[in-house]
Amino acid sequence: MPDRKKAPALKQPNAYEVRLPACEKIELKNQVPLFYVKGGAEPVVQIEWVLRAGNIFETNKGVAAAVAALFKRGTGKKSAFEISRQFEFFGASFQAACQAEYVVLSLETLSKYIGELLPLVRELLTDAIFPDDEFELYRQNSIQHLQVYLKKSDFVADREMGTMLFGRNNPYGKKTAIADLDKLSLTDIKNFYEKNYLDGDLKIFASGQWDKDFVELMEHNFGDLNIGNKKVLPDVETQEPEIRKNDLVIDSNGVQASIRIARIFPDKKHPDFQKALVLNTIFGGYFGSRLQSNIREDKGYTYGIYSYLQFNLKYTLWGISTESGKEVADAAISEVYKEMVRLTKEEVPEEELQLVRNYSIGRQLNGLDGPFRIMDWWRMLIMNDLDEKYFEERIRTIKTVTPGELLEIAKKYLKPEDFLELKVV
Amino acid sequence: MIEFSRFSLANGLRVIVHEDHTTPMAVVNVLYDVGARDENPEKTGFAHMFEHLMFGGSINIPVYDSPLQMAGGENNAYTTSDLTDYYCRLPAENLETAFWLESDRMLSLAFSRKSLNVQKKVVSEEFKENFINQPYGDAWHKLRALAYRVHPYQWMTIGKDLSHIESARLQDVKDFFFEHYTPANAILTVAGNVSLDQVKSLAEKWFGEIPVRKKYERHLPEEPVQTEARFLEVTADVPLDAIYKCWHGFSRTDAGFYSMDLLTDILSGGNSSRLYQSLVKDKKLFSSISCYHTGSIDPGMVVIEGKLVRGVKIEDGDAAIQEELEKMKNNPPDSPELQKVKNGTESSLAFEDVSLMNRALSLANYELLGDANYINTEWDLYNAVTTDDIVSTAKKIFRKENSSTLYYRKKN
Repeated sequence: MPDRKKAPALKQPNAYEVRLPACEKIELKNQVPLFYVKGGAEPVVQIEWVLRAGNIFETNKGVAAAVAALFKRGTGKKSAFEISRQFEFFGASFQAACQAEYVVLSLETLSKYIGELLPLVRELLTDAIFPDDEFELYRQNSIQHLQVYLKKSDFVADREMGTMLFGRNNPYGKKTAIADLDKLSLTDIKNFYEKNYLDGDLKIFASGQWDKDFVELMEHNFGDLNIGNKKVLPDVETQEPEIRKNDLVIDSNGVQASIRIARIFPDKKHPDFQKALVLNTIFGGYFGSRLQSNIREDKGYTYGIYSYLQFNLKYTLWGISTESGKEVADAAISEVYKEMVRLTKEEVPEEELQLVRNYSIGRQLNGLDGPFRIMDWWRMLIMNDLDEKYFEERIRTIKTVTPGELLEIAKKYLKPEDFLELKVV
Repeated sequence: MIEFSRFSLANGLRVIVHEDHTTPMAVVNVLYDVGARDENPEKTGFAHMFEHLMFGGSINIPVYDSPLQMAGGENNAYTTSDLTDYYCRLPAENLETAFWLESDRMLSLAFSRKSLNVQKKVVSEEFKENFINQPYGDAWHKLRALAYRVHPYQWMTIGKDLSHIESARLQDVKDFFFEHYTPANAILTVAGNVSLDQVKSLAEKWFGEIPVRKKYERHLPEEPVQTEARFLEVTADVPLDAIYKCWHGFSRTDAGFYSMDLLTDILSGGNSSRLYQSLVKDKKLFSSISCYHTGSIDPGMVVIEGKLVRGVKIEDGDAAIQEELEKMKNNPPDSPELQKVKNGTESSLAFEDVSLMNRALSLANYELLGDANYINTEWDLYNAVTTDDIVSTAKKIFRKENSSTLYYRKKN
């Protein structure tokens, strides 16, 4: 009969060597870089075309997102229906996600159909025509979707906190309103496509399984695009916050408050960033975190509470996010600050830090499970002009950061007076 | 082909082992054959709240999470109308930690009053976050209650009413545990960088001594055949009118399941689907519309839900949906249309199997349906579906007297 009171012996996960498997790189004839990780047991592939065409490059709000939605709804040769039908016939998915800095076009397909689908992606990157009726349909439906989302306190809170922190004209802080969608212009959309897709700054990432002729196929379909204009991120100014604390009511019958507490934080190349990530895990980054243990597991104020560092290129933020019962929202907020202050006053106990090291190493190991996950890491590194040394530094920091160093980080960045606070009911 | 082995312990626990030596990780998954359908109608939401209580300490181990995290692992769980599933993932060298933790909570919980009191509040917040504080958040409560008169699918997994959760007592927790959390009512799946021998010896060591306890016998009321169309209308503070329609469909283990699944894809799988092309693109009646099924073990529902374009009457949207369904019954899909949804299914089955965690979850789910090997054979059943099957399934399901319709109107 086993001794159930005693935990089985452990291999300390900290003792694992965690290495990022290699990523191959070649340049197509037109100097567009193609990065790839081949592997996995399933006959599937993911290819991502990443263009510097996020909303930071738009002059009128909503244009970058509209282009990402509409460039696959009609080319000189094919209607929107024919395009969707071709991807869907081969069981593939082709999605475009428009972010602040870039747009990620992602094709997921059974490897055996790559040859059928790459010419279609090429066609979209070279010959999108933005038909009037598709534009009107997009405008009408995106206005309707936004109307629904504006009734959700979590959506409103995320947008408002961005504006409070970065300012309404900053690309990280601006928000698209119904009025902006009303004013969307097809001319702006076509211009944006010409400038940022046709003459775009493109990198390609591929992971999964494929046949020998894969590189030739990529060369054949994308190696002669007249593309590769290096885009520099425009300078964006942040401004002194106009409001530091705000309460919004979007539904007087609402039963929960969406709480956001956040500050601007240096970008991920800053020497403090990696240590801050470990401190964030302890603060609110995993299920056993200080915030979760106190505010959910001890007090039951919420279904979940998290802190996080955002990964923008130019400015990031360190924030806390939760939905809590309306009547306990103020109590939850005050506990957040208590936990923040505690991290600035007391060193994290060695045992808690050991647990976070082990947990984090386990997560990193798991985060390398298969070619898609490995490529997620590489794409992040490459888009930020980083290399595997950054990954090694991540692992080293998790294994060796000291309670004293974490206390210094907390004292520097976790000052309640530096955080903006928002409550949306 | 996903390779696996199976064995059982003397106390009835079924064990599945899937070896994958390309990863340093292991997944340990414990599926209990109990869900919201097994609840007392006066105590709904219990199976799901119980899932939360499974993390509040077991008989010999005061907390579940931190020893697992110390071993480099993480975990979560989910509950549906049919089942409750607990999964964790950790470096394979520390596999035994997961056996220790999972077996102790199958042996017995700590039944902590504090944990019960806190988790009642946590689950109330979960209820509010997902079903009250959301536009259209109560639509599913209403739709289930409309479609099911006697079967327990009439309530949501989260529960019928907040008061059911708030009034849970510690004795209810104990009764539920000893009735449902028994070895014979569970399937243990271990996947990753592990070996069959290792799993056999660990299973015997940690789970072997758990008493058999009485096997729960499920006697659920069968939903009578619906004989007349049902209709409900509500008005709420939402930005757009919406419509929800549902029909009783096939159970997960019925031969008709596969054509039902493909039928919903023909109707709304992607922008080339029939409902999108006709109702969103051409007629511009809906800003979004989707068709799916609930995939439940007992006969579930096929659902169409859509938001109407501002200014369009719900009745006109409803009529247009019915017109599309009539076309489905009378105009069989052509062969490329059927091939399209089969290719989509082949692709999503392959993508699902990429992650070790998904393979473990699928094996457990298929074993609950009767045979873990369905993970390898189910595709053939999809592939065998013909255009005639699709039409006959549409005719069986999309009958007026089999339908329930909810008009969800915005307040003026």
